[in-house]
Amino acid sequence: MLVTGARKGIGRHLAEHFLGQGAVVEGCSRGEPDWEAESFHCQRVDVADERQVIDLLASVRKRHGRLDVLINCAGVAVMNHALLTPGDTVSCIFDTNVRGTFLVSREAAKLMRRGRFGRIVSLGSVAGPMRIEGEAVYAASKDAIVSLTRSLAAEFVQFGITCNVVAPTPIETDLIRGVPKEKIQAIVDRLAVRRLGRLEDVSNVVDFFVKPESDYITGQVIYLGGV
Amino acid sequence: MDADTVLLGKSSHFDSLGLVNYIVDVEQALDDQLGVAVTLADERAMSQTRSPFRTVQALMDYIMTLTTADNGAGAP
Repeated sequence: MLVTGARKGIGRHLAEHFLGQGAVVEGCSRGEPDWEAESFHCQRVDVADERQVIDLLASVRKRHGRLDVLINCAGVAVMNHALLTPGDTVSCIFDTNVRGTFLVSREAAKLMRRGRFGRIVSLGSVAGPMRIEGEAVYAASKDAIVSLTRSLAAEFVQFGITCNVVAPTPIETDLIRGVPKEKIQAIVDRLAVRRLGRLEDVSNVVDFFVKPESDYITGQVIYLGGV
Repeated sequence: MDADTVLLGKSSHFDSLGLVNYIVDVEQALDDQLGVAVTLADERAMSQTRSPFRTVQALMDYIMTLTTADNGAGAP
């Protein structure tokens, strides 16, 4: 399996989670990971760079000859009022979150189609449906991932590949470390289940999506926390 | 299949999905067997007056163009 953004946060958790289940895990991230494990191999890749993504999947193909699962975790979040958000920030967020998800999914599907089996799970967010202030661009990029996933699900079904999204609530990761506590609490207060998300909440849903028995589940989004 | 096999259009050897698979197979074979990384269905291919995907021969000619020209089109 391949996990993008495996250096930290949800990506690292999922990589470790599947390593614990005996999977061979390929990872990628822009920075050098500060952790290692048996059966884990990580490459430095910017998912928004098409050439780097093509080379990453070519390397997986040459070393393993197959890919069963892709988890698109690589993502960036910049939270700011819309009036104070520069165009370059918009490009940066969309490049990683949307273009990156597309490029890695495309190259992964080329490899998965050989075995007529594949599971692609991408990370969404509750930021879109919750209309969280200060997250306009991030929310738009995550909603774009949902739209992308639904279309890819229709195109990839012919190859035995499913595409789904798990959309977490705020979780205690680097992504929200700079967000004021009151703001996070205000979001939690609007959830049906009033607590911060846990990494295990995400892996629980990913486990469901990647099961061989989940071949009838595609183009779906599961929002955590009762959103 | 031979050089004259039609890839695109009504008399194509493939349906649309078959052609997609074929193009990806060719890309991967070029990389795996010859170490040549090319993207066949790019803007340049799509903007050609005569599609490089009309026959096997046309595709071979297009690949030769991509891999021999000093155009940064994907040579390793």
